[in-house]
Amino acid sequence: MTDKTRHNSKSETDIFEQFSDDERAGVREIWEKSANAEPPTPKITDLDIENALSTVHSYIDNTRLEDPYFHKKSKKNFLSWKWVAAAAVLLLIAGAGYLYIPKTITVPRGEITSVTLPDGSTVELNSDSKIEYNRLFDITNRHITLNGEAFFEVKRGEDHFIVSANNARVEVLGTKFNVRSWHNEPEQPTEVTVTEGAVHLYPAGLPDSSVIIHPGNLSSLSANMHKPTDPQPVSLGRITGWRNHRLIFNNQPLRVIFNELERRFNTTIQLEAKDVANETLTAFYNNPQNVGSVLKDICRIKGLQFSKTAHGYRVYK
Amino acid sequence: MSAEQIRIWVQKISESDRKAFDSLFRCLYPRLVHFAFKYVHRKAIAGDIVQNTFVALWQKREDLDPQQSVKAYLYQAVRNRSLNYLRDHSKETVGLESVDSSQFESVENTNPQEESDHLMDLLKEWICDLPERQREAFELSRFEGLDHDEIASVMEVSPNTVNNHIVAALKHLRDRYELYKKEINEVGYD
Repeated sequence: MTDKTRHNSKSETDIFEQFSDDERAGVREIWEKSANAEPPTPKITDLDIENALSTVHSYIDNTRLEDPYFHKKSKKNFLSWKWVAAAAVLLLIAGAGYLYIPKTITVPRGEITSVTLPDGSTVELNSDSKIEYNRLFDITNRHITLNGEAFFEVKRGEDHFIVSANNARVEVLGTKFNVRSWHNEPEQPTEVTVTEGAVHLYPAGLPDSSVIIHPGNLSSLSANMHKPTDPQPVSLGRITGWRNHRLIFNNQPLRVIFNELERRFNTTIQLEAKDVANETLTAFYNNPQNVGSVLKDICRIKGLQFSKTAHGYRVYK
Repeated sequence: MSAEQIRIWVQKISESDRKAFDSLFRCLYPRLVHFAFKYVHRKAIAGDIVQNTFVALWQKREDLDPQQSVKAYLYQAVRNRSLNYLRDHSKETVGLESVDSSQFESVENTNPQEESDHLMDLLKEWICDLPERQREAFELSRFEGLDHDEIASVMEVSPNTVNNHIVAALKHLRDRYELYKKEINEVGYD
């Protein structure tokens, strides 16, 4: 235990006094020499400092700390005015189940849509994707549920913006990022890629297992994982290409590719050759106009046949 | 930067002076990032930790006491946050990732004289090889310029323990240095 009343702080010179006479010179020499022997450290430029300072300013001005440990701290805000206001609102219209009916936005197959949320954030939704949020969004919370793929541009705000997608939770203050997480592809991990700012990704209920994703990096989380993968650098153009109607398949299994084609072109593709469902393929289309030409390429590469059906296509050997 | 200047800034920060806060930030940010980096081994994470520490400092500005060492407070907070980070991310291969060497300052001697470059490299290795607590105390004293009372509050031990760590570290380094000099001499007589 530190005894504050006892003043026994020793200066440099006192240190040397503690060595025997024949040791002292050597120790002093080491002390002098070590001044220039700091183990390697990262270079911090003036620009780094100014960028860091402006980040600090923006956090201060939002009076909220973006921090891997904010979950513990945010409990202190439990009785903040927003909660009091929300409680009052709830009392006023008690019984009005209205508040509990979530607001849902669904994008039909074959379309890509952009929506603006009540807090001013925008969400670009890929074909056949759905978001859901409750009526207190932007009043007590900024929680949103995603099934599908979406690119978020989150306005900086006091409440953390939280996206729930399958078992994954993505938590931010204000940034731009892409989430890909389909309910009907549970074996595919939820993938989160950041283009601006920083994002926390963690499994539902395990905020302490979060990883921080920085711009240009992707982290993924599958249903059976207790912690997201280490963020890895990724090509942003590949991840967000769908926003420009590109079709980009990077080493993806055929079943995932066919699901994507079904959504994009509002069609059904019956894969009868089940044994090839997990075979992977890399392909790129800038702005494909019809699914037939894409299917033709895939089938040629994989040695498959396809033909038209009443609702779409069947693929077979 | 003089301790007196820092005290004046802290006084002003406690009165909500943003300019003084910025000055303190610019003055201490690089050193604190270096310090955090020695725990987390990632520049971006180290930067985040230090930035968050300064945000917390601003939020507590009204409780700041200019008579207390703000450096000790900041180093302690950065150390705790770094250790927490390591605890929470222990499953990641934090220390093992290949680090891009271009992000390091080359501390090369521009003067290509004697074998002192080689000795410096060795000395860096020896410092890294010190037992963890000895290394912490030694580096805080030598590279961060903290006095023993400050180091004691950063490491949450008594000033006496700090003294013992530093003495032990110096002994370690001196022993290796003596051994090194002996080897050089033996080679010289061949």
